Amino acid sequence: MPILRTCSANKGAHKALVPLVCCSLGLLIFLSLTIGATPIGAKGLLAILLGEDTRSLSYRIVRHVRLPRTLAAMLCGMAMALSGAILQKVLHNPLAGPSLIGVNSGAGLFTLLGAAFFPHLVALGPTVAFVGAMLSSLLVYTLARRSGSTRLTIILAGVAVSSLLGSCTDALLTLRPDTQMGRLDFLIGSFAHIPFSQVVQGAPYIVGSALLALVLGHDLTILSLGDEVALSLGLDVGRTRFFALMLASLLSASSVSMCGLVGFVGLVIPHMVRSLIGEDSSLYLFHTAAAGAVLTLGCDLVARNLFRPYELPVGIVLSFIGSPFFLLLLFRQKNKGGSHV
Amino acid sequence: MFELENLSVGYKGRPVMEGVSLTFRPGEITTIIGKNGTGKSTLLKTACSLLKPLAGSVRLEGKAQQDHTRRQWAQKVAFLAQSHADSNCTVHSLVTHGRYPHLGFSRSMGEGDLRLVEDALATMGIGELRDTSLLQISGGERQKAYLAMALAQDTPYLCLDEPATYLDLAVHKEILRLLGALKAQGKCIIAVMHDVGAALEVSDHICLLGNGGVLSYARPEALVRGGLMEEAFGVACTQVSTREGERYLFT
Repeated sequence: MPILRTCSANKGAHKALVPLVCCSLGLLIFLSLTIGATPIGAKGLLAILLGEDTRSLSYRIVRHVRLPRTLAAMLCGMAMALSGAILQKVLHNPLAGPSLIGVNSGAGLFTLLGAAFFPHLVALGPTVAFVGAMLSSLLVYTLARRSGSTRLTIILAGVAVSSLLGSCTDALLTLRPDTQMGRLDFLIGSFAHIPFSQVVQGAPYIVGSALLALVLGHDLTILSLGDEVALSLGLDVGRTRFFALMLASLLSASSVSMCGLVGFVGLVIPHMVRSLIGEDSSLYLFHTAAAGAVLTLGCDLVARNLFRPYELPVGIVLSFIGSPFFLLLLFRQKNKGGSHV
Repeated sequence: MFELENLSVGYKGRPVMEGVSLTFRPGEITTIIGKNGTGKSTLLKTACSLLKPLAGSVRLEGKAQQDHTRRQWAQKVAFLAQSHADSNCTVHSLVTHGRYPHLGFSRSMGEGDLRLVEDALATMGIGELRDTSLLQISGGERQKAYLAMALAQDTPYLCLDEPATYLDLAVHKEILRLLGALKAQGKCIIAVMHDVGAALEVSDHICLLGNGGVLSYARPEALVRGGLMEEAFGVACTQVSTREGERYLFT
C-alpha cells in the first residue's frame, strides 16, 4: 500500500527527488573519472577539466578513455531506460522492452552486417544501427497492424521478428567469425574502447529524442489509459503511437550502436521507477532517464574496477545487480497487496 | 443537435446495422436498448467517432464529424467506455485527464480546469479517494472515477456505454439520479443500457435496436404501449404508477 500511495500522494516528493538524483549522478561521474588503474585526484581532475593540464598521462586517460566511457554509459543507460518506458506505455505492456519488439535485434544485425561487409565505413555505425532498428520496428508495426494491431499482436510480431533477426545475427557470426568488432562486447554490451568520436556521433540522437520524449510525456500518459479512452479525449492514437514507437527505436538504436546489446536496462528501470513514484507523474520519464543513467554508470564503475586490471562486460554486472533488485521490488509489491502490472 | 444520417455501422466492412437516422437534442436523455449483439455499443462508438461509419454521416451542431479535429470533437463530446485498461494512477489524476482536450501545447492546467476537476470529484462523491490508486478501489468507485473524468471534460454531449451495469443497487440508483441532474443542466445524454427497466424510467426517448436497424424510436410510454418490447425481448412489459413516478414491470 505505501508504495502505491507514494505513487502520487505527494507530488512534492517527486520534485524533491530531482536534486537527489542529480547529486548521485554527479558523484558517479566524479568517481567514474577518478577511479581506475591509474587513480586521479580531485585536483588533477579539476586541472584537466579546466584545460590547465593538456599534456600529462592523466589528461590522456581522462580525455580518451574515461570521459568517453562515462558519457557513453550515461547516454546509453538513459536511452535504453527511456525507450523501455515509452514502449511499455505505448503498448500497455509491462513486458515490452527494446529487446522484445525487435528494435535491438534489428540494430544489432545491421551493426554486424556493416562491420562484416563494410568494415571501412565504421564511422557510419550509429546510422546503420539506426536504419536496422527502424526497419525492424516498422516491420513489427506493419505486421501487427495487418494482423489486427492489438497490443498483443505487436508483442507477438516483435518476438517473431526478434528471433528471426537474432538467428540472422548468429548465422553471420558463425559464417564470418573474423568480423572486425568486439563480438563478446557487442553481444553482452560494454562501454570499453568507445572512442570520443562515437559518443559525439550518437549523443545528438539520444539527447534530441530524450527531449522529444519528455515533451510527448503527457500524450503518452493519455495513451496508456487505453485506446478508447485516449480517442475520446481527443488524442490521435494512431499517430501518437507511431511517433512514440519511432522515438523508442531511435533511442535504443543509438544506444545499441554505441555500446552493444544492453537490453535489460530498458525492461528493469521503467519498472523500478514505476514502483517507486508511479508512472502517472509528469516527472516519470525524467526520473526513468536519470535512473537509467545512474544504474548504468554505477554498474560500469563496478564492471571495470571489481577485478582490476581485468574488466567484465557491463551487461553482466547490470544483470547481476539489476535482476535481484527487480525481483525484490516485485515481491515487495506483492506483499503490500497491490500489483502494478 | 447530434444527428445520425443514414448511418451504417459495423466492423471490417461488415455492417451490423444499416440506415440509422436519429436526432439527439440538448436537455434530453436518449437510451439505446436491444438484445445482446444488436450493435448498441457499435452504434454509440460510431456516433462518438471511435469507429468509422461504413456509410452515412454524423453531424454535430450542423457540422460533419470529419470536419472536426479529434481535439475539437472531444471538446464537445465525452464518451464513457464500457471497460477500461488497468492503469495505476490516482483517482485525482484520472479525473484531470478529462481536461486534456482543452489544454494548450504546454499541457498545463489553469485555475478553471482545476475547479472543474474538483467539481467533478464532488459531484461523483469521490473526493476522499482522490489520492488512492485506481487499482485499489472497487468496481463501482472506479466507474464513478471514469464518469467524473467524463464530467470534467465538460462537454455539452455525453455518450455513456453501460454507465450502471455491474454496479450494486445503491450506486446504480445514484448514477441514474446523476443522469437526471445532467439533463437538467441542459446536457444531451446518449446512453446504452442493459437494464431496460432503468432505461424506461430515466429516458426521454428510447431507441430500440433489432434486426439490423432501429425497431423503434419513441417515448418510453409509447414504446411499452405499442407492444414492441414484447416482440424485441420476448417478455411482457407493464407500466405501473407508483408514488415515485412511472415504473415498469417485466413478466
